[in-house]
Amino acid sequence: MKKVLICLLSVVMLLALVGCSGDGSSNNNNKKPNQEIHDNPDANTLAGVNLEVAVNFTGDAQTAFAAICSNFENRYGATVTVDWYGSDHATLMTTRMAANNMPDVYVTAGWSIKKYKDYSLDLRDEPYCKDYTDSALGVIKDKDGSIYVCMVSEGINGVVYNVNVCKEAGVDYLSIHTWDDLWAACEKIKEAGFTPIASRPNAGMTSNAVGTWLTYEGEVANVGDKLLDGTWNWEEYRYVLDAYGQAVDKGYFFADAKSMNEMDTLERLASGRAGIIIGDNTASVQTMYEMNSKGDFAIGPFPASTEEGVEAITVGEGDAFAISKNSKNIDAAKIFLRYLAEEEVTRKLISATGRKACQESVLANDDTDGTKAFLRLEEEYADHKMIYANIFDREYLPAGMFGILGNVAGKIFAGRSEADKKEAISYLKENFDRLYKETKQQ
Amino acid sequence: MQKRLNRKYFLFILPAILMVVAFKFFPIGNAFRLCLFNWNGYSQDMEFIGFDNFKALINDQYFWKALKATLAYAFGITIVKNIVGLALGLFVNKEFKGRGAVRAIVYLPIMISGFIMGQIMYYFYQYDGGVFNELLQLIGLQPIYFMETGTRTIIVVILTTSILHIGSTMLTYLAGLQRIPNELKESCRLDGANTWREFIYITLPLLQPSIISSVVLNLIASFKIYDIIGAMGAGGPDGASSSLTQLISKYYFTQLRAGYASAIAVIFFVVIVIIAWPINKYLNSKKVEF
Repeated sequence: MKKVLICLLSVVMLLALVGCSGDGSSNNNNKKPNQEIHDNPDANTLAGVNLEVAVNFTGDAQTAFAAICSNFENRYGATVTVDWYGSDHATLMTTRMAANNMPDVYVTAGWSIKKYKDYSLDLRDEPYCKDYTDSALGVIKDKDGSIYVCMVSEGINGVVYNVNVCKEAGVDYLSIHTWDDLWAACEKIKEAGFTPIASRPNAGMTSNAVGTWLTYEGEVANVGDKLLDGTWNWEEYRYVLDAYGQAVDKGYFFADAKSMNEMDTLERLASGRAGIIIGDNTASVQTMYEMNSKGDFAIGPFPASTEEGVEAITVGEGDAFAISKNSKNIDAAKIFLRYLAEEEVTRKLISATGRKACQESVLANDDTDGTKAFLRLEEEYADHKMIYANIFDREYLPAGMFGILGNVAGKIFAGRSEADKKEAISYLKENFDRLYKETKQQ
Repeated sequence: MQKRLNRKYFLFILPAILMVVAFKFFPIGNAFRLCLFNWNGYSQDMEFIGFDNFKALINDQYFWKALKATLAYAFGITIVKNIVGLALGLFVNKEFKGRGAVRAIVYLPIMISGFIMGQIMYYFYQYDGGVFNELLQLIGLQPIYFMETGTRTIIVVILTTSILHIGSTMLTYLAGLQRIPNELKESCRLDGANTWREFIYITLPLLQPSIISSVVLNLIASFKIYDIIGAMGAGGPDGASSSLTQLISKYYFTQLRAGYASAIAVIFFVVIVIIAWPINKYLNSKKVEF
């Protein structure tokens, strides 16, 4: 009897192990046919369907998305299993891509084309794609016209101002056109007893802004073509290193900028200790209003590098959802995305994330904080020479360079000698050449 | 009969063996394979490049910075935890009022996750408005930028990690101290030895099993330090306080260099073996039977 029990126990354990170790590729070999779904499904049309959705939402956005999924379940009878990957989203999605074991629906977090397109379904014929603003299409439309995501919001990046601090320092932030104007404003803010800039060295500070030196018309350099054909030697990146380097030397950043975290940055601007954040977005404006409801915060474009140059707002993917090509529930996933694109649902989500709506129909009646900050920007900068551009690295650099730009931002704060600059440029070139070659090979 | 019994026991440990193979040996083996490829970590294609990843490591300043910092973390944390842990073990081994409370207070931090502890301590060590600097300013002193340089950040992380895990080291030593027979200590005292001599000639040699396990386990655990660094300056400035585990994660998932990250993991594995194995061997040779 004992022997039988031992054998049975061992077999059960082994079976459990074998069951757990099933590899993702089996999903592809045993695909069930997609369920037939009507265009306008009634309640319970999706009964029995379980959608796996991987997202990076935390805090208020997580709460809002959970409620949105719950409403979807009630309306269609499907179950939605959400993988709350949070800050580990990119890491976990990378491992799932390697295993070819993608969830039905996933947030692309800024990388729908560069990283996820081989795994994602082309959604260009979906109804919400006809409703996108031009700036949204500029970010998510691939060269061949494919659109891989249902995007409900855009990331609007620029320079964030504490308007009250600027006023107290005698700075009219709307008069800033060039980087020199911005540094002059910093000097005034410093003289008024504030720290001018609350930014910390990260990729956002550089990657979002460098187009105003390197790639737009009328700027000090125009190397976009060379970047795209891989022949640029990165020498002109010195403009960026020099500009930020001088700002560090002149004491425009907090003394502990190199060890600050994101919340420090927002808190110091929100509390009125600093006047400017270079390279932030409308979501941060919303967070700062939560920190200080009596404050006045505005977002403006990155300045131009010359008088003839253009000011730029960089636009990136906001909350964007893709469907796995290998999903067993493609039709149900499409319905889920159409549901997310509904005006009311979209508004619920962007109210929590603080990002700006990117569908014309939603924008028309939107009063969420992210959109309000954007509308203020449009109104205040109506007479400025301003463009909306894709984020620099998404437009011109191979995937993987974002982190490299972040490292170089850190180098600016660590050392600013000629040798440091040469080393930074050589580091950028070396990594760009490697990643460019790898991308071409793929 | 014995053979049947062995087979029966083997069946019991088989699931555990399979798990260790699947979740330990297979990933380690896979890292040895991946380090020979150029791979972005998710593509279904990878290119064989031989030892190029290892050659590239020679000129990678971030690798050398992280290796130095990791060695500093490993030895720093091991030394602090063992010295302070032993001192605390000796202290709470004595009879005094409130001993249980002291043990609990020292052990409590271990219940907090490393990341949370890092977040909390970040606001203690912060230059601008940090708790320590507020206190310094309260008594008229200038604030200190604790995380200004790599060395300072490493020291801060060593102290924070040590506070977090000191309870387990204290318990290891406490268990060892309670195993030492009282007769040996008494006879030592009868021979006229003072407390220091008793500690050197009786306590310390008989604590060897605890010292071996504590030093080796702490050393290996400290090599793998990850979460606290992320919460305290994220390896800055310019990678000077980043650990190898952080660098591996950064290269693998942020810079999409999975093959290169695997090469670092392989070097890291070899470094741990080269350091931990002789230390273990040396300490084992000093073991005293009683």
